[in-house]
Amino acid sequence: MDRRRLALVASFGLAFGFLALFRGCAAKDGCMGGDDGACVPRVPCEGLAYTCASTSPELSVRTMTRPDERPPGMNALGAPGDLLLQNDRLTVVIDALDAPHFLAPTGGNVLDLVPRGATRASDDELNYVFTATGILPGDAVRYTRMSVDDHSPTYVAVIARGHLDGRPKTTVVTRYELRPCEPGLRIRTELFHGEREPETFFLSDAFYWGGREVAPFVPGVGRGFVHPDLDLLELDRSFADSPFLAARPEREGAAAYAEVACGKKTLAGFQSTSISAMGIPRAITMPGDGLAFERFLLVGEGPGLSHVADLALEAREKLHGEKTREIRGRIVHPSGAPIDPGEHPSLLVYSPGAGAEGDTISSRAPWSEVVPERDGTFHVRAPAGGALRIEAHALGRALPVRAAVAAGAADVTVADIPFPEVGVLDARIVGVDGKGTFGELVLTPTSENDVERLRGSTHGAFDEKICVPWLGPAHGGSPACNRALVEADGHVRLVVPEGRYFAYATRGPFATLARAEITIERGKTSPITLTVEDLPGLVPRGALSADFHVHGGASFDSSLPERDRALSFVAAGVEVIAATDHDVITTYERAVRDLGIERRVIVMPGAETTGHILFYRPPGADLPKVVGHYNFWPLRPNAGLPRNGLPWDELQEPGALFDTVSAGFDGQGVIQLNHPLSGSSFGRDEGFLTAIEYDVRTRVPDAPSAEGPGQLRRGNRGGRTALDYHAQEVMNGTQTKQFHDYRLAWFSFLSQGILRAGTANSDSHTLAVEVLGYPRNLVFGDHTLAAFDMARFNEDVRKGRMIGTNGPVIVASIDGVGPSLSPIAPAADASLAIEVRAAPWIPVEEIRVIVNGKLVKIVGGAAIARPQDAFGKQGTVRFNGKIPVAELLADVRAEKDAWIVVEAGLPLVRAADLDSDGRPDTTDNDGNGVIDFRDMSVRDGDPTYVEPQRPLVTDPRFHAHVVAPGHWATAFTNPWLIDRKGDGWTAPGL
Amino acid sequence: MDRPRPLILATLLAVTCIMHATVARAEAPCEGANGLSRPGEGTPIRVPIFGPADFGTAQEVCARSRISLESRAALLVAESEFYGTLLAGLALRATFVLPRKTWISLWMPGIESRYVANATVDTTQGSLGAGALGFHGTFFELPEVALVAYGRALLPTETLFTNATRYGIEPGISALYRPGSSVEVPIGIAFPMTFTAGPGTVTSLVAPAFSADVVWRPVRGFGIAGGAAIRPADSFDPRAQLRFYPWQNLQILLAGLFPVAGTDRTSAAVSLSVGWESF
Repeated sequence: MDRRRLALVASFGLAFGFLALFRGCAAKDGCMGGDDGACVPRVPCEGLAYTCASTSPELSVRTMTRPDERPPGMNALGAPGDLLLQNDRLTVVIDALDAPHFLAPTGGNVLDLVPRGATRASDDELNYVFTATGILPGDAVRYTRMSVDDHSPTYVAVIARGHLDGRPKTTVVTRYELRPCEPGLRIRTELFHGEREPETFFLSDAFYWGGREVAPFVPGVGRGFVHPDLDLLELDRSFADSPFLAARPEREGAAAYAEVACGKKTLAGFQSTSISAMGIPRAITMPGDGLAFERFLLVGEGPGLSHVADLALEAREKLHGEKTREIRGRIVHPSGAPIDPGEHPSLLVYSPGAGAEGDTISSRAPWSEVVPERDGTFHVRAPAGGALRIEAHALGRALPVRAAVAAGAADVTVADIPFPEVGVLDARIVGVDGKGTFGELVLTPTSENDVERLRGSTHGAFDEKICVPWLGPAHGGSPACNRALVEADGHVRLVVPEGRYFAYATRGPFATLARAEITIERGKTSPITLTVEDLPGLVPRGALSADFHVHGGASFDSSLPERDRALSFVAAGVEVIAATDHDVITTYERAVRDLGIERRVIVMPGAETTGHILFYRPPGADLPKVVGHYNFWPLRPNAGLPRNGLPWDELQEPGALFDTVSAGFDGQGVIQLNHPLSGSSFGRDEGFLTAIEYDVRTRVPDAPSAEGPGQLRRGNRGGRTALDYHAQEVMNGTQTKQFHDYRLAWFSFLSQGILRAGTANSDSHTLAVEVLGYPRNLVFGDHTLAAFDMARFNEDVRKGRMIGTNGPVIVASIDGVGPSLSPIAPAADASLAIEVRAAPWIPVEEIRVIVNGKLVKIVGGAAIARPQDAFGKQGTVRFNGKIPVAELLADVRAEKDAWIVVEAGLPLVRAADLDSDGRPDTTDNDGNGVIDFRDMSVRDGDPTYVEPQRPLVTDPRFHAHVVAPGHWATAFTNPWLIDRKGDGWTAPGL
Repeated sequence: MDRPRPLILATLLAVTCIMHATVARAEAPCEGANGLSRPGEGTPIRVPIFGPADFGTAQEVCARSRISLESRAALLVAESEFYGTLLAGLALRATFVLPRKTWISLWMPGIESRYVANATVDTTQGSLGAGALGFHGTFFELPEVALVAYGRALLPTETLFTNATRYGIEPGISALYRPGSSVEVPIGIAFPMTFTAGPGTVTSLVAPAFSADVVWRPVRGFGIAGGAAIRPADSFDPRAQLRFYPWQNLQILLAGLFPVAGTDRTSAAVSLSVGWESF
């Protein structure tokens, strides 16, 4: 055959050879070649096999039809329409496609997960687990179809199909499979990259912990509960490989979670208490290629980590043949006294590092953490082979006690581990009649030198510097941090580290404060009785105290049990609450009823909308944003709907958001702009004014625009704009910087005629870190709890008939008219009558009068009364006087109208605006009395506005600071709008 | 996912047949203006970044044996989508002359390094690239014009794929027009087709490319070239090249390419080729 023919034949052969390959020598295998609508991912975790003790094990999959099918716990959000898979060991809810939650654009993700058959209550503490390939909104999976595959009694499965939200040609199919008697959910996700360019995909599960709920744990040298700071802009340094991920709940009665990779030996990812992501290592994926991620998602009961970490190690033994052994033992008091749960005993099991430094945090490799039983016994699994050590912890601190576990493969029982004796405080809070009463007990060391010794944490996680002494997990139920709630009988018993303390009893800023100095000794019980009484005449008749920004365990970033949250309402003396949990409507109805406090507090159901999915991108913005947070109340709750009836609140500009959510108002509701100039968290601005970079010195134009302050005028089809809210937070929590900022924004709007009621709220998520009711509002208008009229009450809120305060009470009027958003035309000789009252333990040093944004009058010095006894009842009236209105308006041009606001409390924290953005940003950090750029340089990159620190014991601020950390006594009124010529009020302008 | 169409087979067949047509006998543009051949004649601007190996890159027109070390780099910055890539590669390339103005080309699987960033989720991966084996034949020649047809096959040696393998074929035609002793105009038409075979499925991609350059070589040791390529719907790629022939048949070619328009988001690419040509 000549060369030409040879070449021809060779060419044909080559061509047909390619065809043969193309025609499917490779069999169709799952969905890694793309989703054709019928492909099914391979069975996940084929190496796993669990045996059933029962001959008829339970296994089912169904669509939820009733609200009562929702798993237990405030975090549980499953609603009719969601898919529920169940075996004898767990219940899992996959949210419906049209019921998305948090960061996911659609449902199809794990929403609730609880153990079954647990010996203890194990509430859902899992906010959400969703599949993603990166950190941008387009990297989340948009599921478009879900189907159920019921092969019971062998397995049940849910197949979710979709694509990456920003890449329609990159298909994703996830198989959730549950088998009888297994303690976890088998999951396999298959991705096909159908786009044109190579991508780096981090195919992973994102665990949205939320912050303050669970402490993630990964085994590894220097790890455990300790993780590198997570910065989304520098993710590289946070990535690490781990054999498994586990998560320990912060509160009693909540479930614990773990995840183990099936296809590989390790998971790659990063951790923080807000979000963890675990998956297959980041990889460049070429167009036409596919990826698969296979894992086993486990749930176990609390407390502690060991129940679920044991399950993770068991799974690894089945998958990878890694042997484990069980370590048993007992903790004991030398005296033989039983272990007190209030000691919060905990044992950390780890592989020591080499040498003398082998026990240090940076050298050791933790494997698990176990909370002993009531009788002191414990059992925990750990890898077989190498030597191990057990470090004892109590009351949030490591004890100088370690037990050694010799190297080996067999189960082992260690010698008793001695725990030091504990001291107990037996406290009673009583009223003036000697009977027990609701309240709060707060402890603080008498000496600054004891602060570091008594500071505690959850093995390094949730380390709050104010939790001294540490009585319980900082964000959990009572006792939490350094305080405990007291119920109607007034009695509380606490395990307390030995030392000398001040014990405070409080029932909010409108009652007396009681204090005793106590000494706690090991092995002894110290009884005290503290008397707290109301201060009649402090709060005007017809005024109710209200907190319009309150979170509990239903929020993704709070683990405060419902009962404790409700108890805190009355312990703080707040009478009206807007329940504003993130993205879900709550009522606290059951807890209020169980506590029998229906007559003491009114709870208005509501919610806080919290943008998660970045979408808002004005021209010139580097990154997409969200639109901040808003509160809405009262809303109609409906447990039969997702989020208890709150509509999906993502991807909407404020005007559209207002339309969407206010459709669920119960009557005419209130929309509140929350923390308008707050910073951002994980790239999500928490205040809309931050998102639009609003400069408080600039005018909001009349016309809408795509950038600048005109964004506030942007509307939607419904007609509402971003300015169509009713109230704006002027105080949120105790941070003075926030008060500086929000106040300036509010003043700016008042001067421009954008009249919105100013509110003061705690934004409390915990018992101690932000204390409920500090600050709060006093709403005027002849209101009573007994005859509470919600509609009229909220009308007064919308009209600004209130003050905001964290203690001082301002009772002021002009011509007998209190503050409000309704203009008044005072007489020519009218006076501003001011009376400032405060409980003796709340310091008041000055009264400020602001006119059109300018400070025109300060009353201070000898004009302010200062009670001698902070713990008494005398001296609540700190000032009573009048200031002619004409005097206040002397510098206002005659043709201009005005607004007047009164503030009282401590002087504003001295701060200067060195970056020229209109807001103070730097405090006197070098203490030389002058605020200049040297005060910035001494901070060396840290924030230059430094909040007031813990004062000395002798400082008048000390008591309030103990009760509400960061307290800086402040109150403000809503404005008086002065129509000087009686021809209608005109905004004075900036 | 597309499957190979009969048209593709017919094209392959046609090219194969054409490759063996009788070559017209005449003076040829590859033999130099005065019959003195120089290295680098009939060479288009080559910046091999758009396909595996050097798929989609114009091929030479003159039958010569060459060996060269090819390095290339490409940058893509899509700031508004928080996406970027950086590709760098090094490979050995050779052509072997056969009788009757035919030759074989071989792109050896080379090393590649890719950095791909999706916001702050990024990674750098090294890999072995694809190879390519081709057969080229001159089927028409006049004193000023030469036409070459070729067929190339991708060698599926890429290690970057996790669950798929990429194959490919590329028929094409290269042409050379020499209007003067110091000017030549290489033109190329290529139809690279790649097929990524995953678990039971195939994804195909056809990315034809048309290119034309003008090379000015005022002296033996130096030349400058400018031109453009069009990849329909993908991009229009203006390009330029500096050519150095410092010693005998050694050649050093430095090229840059700047895609504009189209869906391809590559920002810029450069290539450096150092080789030796024998003729």
